Amino acid sequence: MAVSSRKRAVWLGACVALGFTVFSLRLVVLQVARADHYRALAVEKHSTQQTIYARRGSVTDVNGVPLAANEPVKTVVVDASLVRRMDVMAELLSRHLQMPLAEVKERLARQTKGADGKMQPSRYIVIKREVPEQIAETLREEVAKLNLRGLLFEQDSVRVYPNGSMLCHVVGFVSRQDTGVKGVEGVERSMDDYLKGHDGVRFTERDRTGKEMPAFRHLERPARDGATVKLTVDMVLQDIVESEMDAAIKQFRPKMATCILMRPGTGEILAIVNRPNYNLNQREGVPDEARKNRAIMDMIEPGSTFKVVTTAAALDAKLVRPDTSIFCENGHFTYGGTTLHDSHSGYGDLTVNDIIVKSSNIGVAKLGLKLGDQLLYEYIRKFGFGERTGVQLPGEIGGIIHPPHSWSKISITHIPMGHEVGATPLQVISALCTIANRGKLMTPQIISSITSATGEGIASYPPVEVRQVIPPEVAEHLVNALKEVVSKKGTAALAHVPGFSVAGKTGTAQKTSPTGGYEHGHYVVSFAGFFPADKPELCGLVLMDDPVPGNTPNYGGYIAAPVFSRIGQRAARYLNLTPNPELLKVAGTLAQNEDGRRR
Amino acid sequence: MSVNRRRNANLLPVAKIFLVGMLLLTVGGGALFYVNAKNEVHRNGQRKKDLERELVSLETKDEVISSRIAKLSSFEALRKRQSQDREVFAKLVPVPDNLVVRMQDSTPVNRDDQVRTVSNLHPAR
Repeated sequence: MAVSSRKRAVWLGACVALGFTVFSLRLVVLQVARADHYRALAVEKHSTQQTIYARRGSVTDVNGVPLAANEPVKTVVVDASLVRRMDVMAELLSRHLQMPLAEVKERLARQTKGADGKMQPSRYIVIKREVPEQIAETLREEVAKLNLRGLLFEQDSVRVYPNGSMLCHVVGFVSRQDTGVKGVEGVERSMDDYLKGHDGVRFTERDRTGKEMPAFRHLERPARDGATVKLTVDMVLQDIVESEMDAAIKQFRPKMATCILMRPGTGEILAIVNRPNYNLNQREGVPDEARKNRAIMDMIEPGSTFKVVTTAAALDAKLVRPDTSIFCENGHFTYGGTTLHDSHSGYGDLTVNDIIVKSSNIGVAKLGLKLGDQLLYEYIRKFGFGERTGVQLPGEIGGIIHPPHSWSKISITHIPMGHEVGATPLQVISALCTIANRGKLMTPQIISSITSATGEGIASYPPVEVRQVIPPEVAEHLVNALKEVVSKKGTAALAHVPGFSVAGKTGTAQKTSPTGGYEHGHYVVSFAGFFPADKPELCGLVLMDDPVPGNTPNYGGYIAAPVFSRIGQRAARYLNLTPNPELLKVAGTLAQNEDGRRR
Repeated sequence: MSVNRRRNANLLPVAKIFLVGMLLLTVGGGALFYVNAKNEVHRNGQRKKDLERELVSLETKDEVISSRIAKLSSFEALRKRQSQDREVFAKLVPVPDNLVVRMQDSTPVNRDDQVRTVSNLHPAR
């Protein structure tokens, strides 16, 4: 039976309509019902998130001399699935990267399990990290010449410290962790939040070969590079201090040594040296002892330098005047069953001024007795002992000063001369800076300013006055006494700086034994001073632990004071401090006399 | 064949052909423009990427050179050089204090030929 053309047309129309309906349904399924699933799949396949790495900021000295910087390096990676001539590639990598051929071959042969479960050549094999740019460039050229495929270079950077061991305890270093590069010690650690910067992010799309399509970049947040941290340290002064300390260490071979230079008016630290030290670029195998920033982490008994604190307290409490006479028991004073001695043959009557000049233990112990436990303790705390100074360095300790209720009967005679007190070298120099600064205690500063990578100021650190510890008049009395210490009459004549009036105090403290008591014949010698005494520009502390004196008397005045003098002379020249012509004449005459005697 | 019929058979729908032609040209031109624009977008993207790569490469070179300068001009490097090139540095003798001429705070001068205050605190003999 012949089917009419009309029926055929109806059937055909119905089939076409059905076909369209099926396709439409499928379209609805794809575009509506499972739209999220397929969108996610598309995003997963084509969209990608790139991290834009931020550069770590640099650390510089006060004049912009770089102390910590970044050096670009490459990580050499191989996609083994693309390598056709494995032997040629292995030989090339081995030759340029200075690696054993067997090791390179072993790495290139690594396989990973694919999506189908079969083992296949790994697509990401790290051959070597931290390859210098120059080597990477040569390697890249040779690979291009040989038309090899599969070698990739990833940008990376390493932290370099151009000055090696100089200022190592202050600058510190970084370590690579899973979360990125992190400051471990020194300023690298304390200023890590500013230095590290913030990585940026970019959402982009890739074509089916995995190549980025820059035209289809979406959201982009640029990286914010780390800030530049400028220290208060001046590397020229640092170099002066390092070289003078090295010379002294060569001569006296102490177990450890510390030297700090500060500007008393502002609390800025201009140089800081600790020995032993280490090279920041070669840290493997460095003992913990060498990594210790002793200026803020080591606790010492300050010894006689502490007498300044006791005398300041007695003068401020108006218990004595500078010319008040104190009987010093001719060198032997028994109190609480213990006898105190003075160096040399002992003294009879000494004025308060002379107690400082002669560094009389008995005299200062009697000042302590006049003050009493509580008042003495309060003044010690006011000078900043027993608490952290607040310098922007990690790991600072506060030292130990026990409260009066836990003092022994003889503490009141021992603490005034710097025994039974645990202080850091930075606390000692801060206390002396307080005298130099006419009674104002300043917070020691090591950071000068922080600037963003684009040059905008982020933070600056103006001088911070902690408190007025003693009135300026009392400080003036002490300065006068300390000036006499650095004279022929005092214990630190060798600390003089030609052309300048120097004020300072020596310290010679017997070393405490780990088993209790003191070690005989072992001393911590120190000298803390400032100049010009009337308008101080520089305050310095030189401290040596257990020096081997040889023919030199084992006193701060003979071992530490000459180092201070040499540092002072060179620093004054560098800072262009104008010497006093009169004092220069005196120094010239003294030098001529000295020459005459030698002849 | 009648005249009317011939006229009808030879009649060209010029307006329609023109319309279709224009339509095709517009669609074709639009498509070509679209393809060209898309290619241009890709080319610009690639150019952008190349420029970025060049910029990174220049920044890297700059950083490498800065790092080398920092190393070579560091105090440690200078100390090493000083100990190696003794002949060169032996000539660098510190000037004694009594031979230094210090400029005191000079009084402001209005003319170039006016004498300025200087003082030699400890002149050489």
